[in-house]
Amino acid sequence: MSLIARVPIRTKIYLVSIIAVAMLGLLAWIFLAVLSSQRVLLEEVESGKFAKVVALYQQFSMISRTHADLLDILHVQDGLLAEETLYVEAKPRLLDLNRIVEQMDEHRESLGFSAADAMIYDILIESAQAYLAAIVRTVEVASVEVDLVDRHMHDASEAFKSVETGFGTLMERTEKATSQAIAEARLGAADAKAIFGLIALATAIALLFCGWWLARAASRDLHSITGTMAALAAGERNVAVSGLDRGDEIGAMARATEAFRRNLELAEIERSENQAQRMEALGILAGGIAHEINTPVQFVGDNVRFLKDACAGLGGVLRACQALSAGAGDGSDRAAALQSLEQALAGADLDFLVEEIPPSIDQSLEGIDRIAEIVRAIKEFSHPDEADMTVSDINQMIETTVTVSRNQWKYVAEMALNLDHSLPPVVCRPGQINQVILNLIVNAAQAIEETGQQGRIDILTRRDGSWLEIAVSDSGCGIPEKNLEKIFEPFFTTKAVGKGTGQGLAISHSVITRKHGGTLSVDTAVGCGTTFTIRLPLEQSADSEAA
Amino acid sequence: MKASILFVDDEPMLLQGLRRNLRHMRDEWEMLFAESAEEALHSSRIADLDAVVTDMRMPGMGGAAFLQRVVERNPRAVRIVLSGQIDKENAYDLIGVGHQFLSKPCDIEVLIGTLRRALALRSALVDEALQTTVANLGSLPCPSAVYNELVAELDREEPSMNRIAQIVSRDLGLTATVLHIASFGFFGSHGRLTNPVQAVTRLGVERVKALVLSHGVVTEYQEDNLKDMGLDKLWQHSVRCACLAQEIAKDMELGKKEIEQAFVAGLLHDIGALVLATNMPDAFRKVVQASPREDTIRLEAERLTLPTIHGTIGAYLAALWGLPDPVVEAIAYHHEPSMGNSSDFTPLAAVHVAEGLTQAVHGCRPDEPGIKVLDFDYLNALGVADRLASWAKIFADHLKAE
Repeated sequence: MSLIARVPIRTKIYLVSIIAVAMLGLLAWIFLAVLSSQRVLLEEVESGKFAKVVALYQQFSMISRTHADLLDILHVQDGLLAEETLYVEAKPRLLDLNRIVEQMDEHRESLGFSAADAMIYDILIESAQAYLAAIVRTVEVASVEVDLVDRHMHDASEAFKSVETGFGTLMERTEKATSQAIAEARLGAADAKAIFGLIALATAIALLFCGWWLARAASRDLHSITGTMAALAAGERNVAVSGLDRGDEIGAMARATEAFRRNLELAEIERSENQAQRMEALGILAGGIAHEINTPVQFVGDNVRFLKDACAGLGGVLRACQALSAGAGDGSDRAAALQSLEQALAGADLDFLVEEIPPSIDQSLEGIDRIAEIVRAIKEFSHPDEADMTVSDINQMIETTVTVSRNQWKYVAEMALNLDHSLPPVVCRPGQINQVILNLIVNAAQAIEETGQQGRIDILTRRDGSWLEIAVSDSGCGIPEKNLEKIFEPFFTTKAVGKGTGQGLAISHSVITRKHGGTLSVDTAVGCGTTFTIRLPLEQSADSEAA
Repeated sequence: MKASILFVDDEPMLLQGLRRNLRHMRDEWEMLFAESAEEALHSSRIADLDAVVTDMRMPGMGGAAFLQRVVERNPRAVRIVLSGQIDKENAYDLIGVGHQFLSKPCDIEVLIGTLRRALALRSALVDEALQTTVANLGSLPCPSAVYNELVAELDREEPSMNRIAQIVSRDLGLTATVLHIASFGFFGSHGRLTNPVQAVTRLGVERVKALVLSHGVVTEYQEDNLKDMGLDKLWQHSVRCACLAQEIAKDMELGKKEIEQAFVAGLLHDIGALVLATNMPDAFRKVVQASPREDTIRLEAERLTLPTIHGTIGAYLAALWGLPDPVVEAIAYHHEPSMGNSSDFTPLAAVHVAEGLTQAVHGCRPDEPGIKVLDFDYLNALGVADRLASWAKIFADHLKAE
């Protein structure tokens, strides 16, 4: 299972949400950044253009105003000006021009022209300097040679025109550059929007994929677990649960489902094992019980039949007596009656009848008692409601089990019961405890049978503090040490085929330890015998009773 | 002479009950009682007892082991088990040692009848060796064809009860054995059986298999081995006789049970000859040599050379093995039906007629002097002589069908 399956679904959903939020944040940040950078760019473009245009306009207007002043001065004087007057009036204007041109040169850097514009600006400055020189010459000439004024004036005008053209070009270029910059800035903003959209789309697709993928991984196993549950509900037990090795909630659910399935299976196996053991026990017992019942039925029947015949014989005798008594007075009748009485007496085998009738009645009654006792014991032993905990008398249960199993042990062993009759009642599942005791008795009888000698089975009950102890001892062959570890394992048996399935002690062990919280221990010596000891807690019984 | 019978049971009250009820038999039987097998074996009388009735499960030695000892010390004794219950594995121990199994509670009249019948036929055998032979019968020969067919069927994945029964009812030894073992109380409902299909069903395939393959109740034989005994035609003759007896019983509108009895008695009527031939071959050869004919009618020779005839031997076996009375009677008197004690048309009459008609195939004329193939006085007394012709036709049709 991949790493992804080990991460809890909750974490996965958190993770995806965080990724989604982060992506959205990133997008917002990009969006804002693009917006702000666009504004800055536009501002910069606007302000640059404005600065240039304002600076150029100011300089141009100053040159243009000074030029107009100079033209006024030159036209007013019109070749007639004295040198001093001209200088006095024109000189400040020339100085102004000179300062402006110098300033233009100085301000060159601050205007931030592109290389091409800067070149134009240089030319512009040269033109301005040329104009300045021309106008200076014009002024100089004006005082000396008036006729030359027009020519130099013309030169200055020409130079001024070139300055004007330069300004025009520069203005035009600046405007063009500015509008281009604005267009470029707008274009950059459009690109940013496209990138933003793409990222947004990619994020959406990625989120969708994550969602689909998570849902698919979860739903596949969930679907499978649902199928498993449905199969379990339908009674199927041998189903595989998928997603067991996942580390997330589905894995936990799969493991819980598997545990549920396993428990169901175990419960059923146990139930069928219990059933099998019950059936086995019944099978073993049925034959023995048949024998135990059929023998008294045989002799009770024989005796009653004998009594019937005896009654017929005695009836004949009695009738003859009656006839004798009725005809007591009459001589000849009396002799005949006497004769027929003698005949009846001879035919009735009276001595035999008198001797045999009382014991045959006693034995019939005893036979009927025996049958009744066995039938009662079978009824008690079988306890159909074995699943319920009930208050039970362990001693009586032992006596019952000993009775129903009589045929299993009576041919090989004597049975001695040493029961503590002051034992408190125990809350247990009597059907199951009966099975366990039966199992131990049958095992004991078989162990004794193996020795080939008549043996002895002792069953003892006693209280040991808060425990109740049942010990079943036999004088049988014992259990070799190598088998001792395995006797409580299912299907371990040393018995011949047909004598046992090897389930008895395993189930007994489970019944005592798991169902009753007790212990089942064994103490054995090869050749001497074996003692199985059941210990049941009395405390727990009291608790259960109280509950 | 009184017959001596020993009853063994670990329950003293049961013995007392029997003693009280069997008191009226005291003129006929000498009855002994023992409370354990060990006590019984200590009795000095054990070697000359005529019959033993024992329980199966007893402290110390059990019934099967006890009967085994009885076989060793007194092989002629009739051995009957009277038990409340029997395990399957114990049941197999009984094969060969116990003759009959009676379930407790058993009606005293059934016990008396069983003992009486067996003891009467036993004394009719006269010869001790014969009594021993029949009481301890080993496996009977079975023709290899039948034997192989049965083994093949038993080896199939799903053997058919019907086919097994069909095969079984073609062989004398198998039929007798299956009926015998199936009558043991442990294999289900108690009761005497005459239907091989029922017997096979009651036993089940696995037990039939065990009987045939493990316990060897029959031995496969090559037909040639019995040729010098003149017995190679015995199976064909027996099956024909069984079928014809069955048809005759049907024709006489006998009950279902009697029709079955007629079939089984027809099949087994010569089983005594088979017992003789396989267990006392020398004696049987003498009979064969003394007999002027080669067919199965050797009554005169048997009477001259043997203490008894094959009918009685077969009947004793049938009685010992618990086959029903009419079958025992039919086997005993199939050559001398007037010895039977019924004036009605019984399976005995059917078998007698079937035997007589099948003999005709071997060249015997029904009215041949000296050998009363058919007892016309008997048939006339029953008022069925006029039906012989139609029965002969049934037989002829049957032969054609073969």
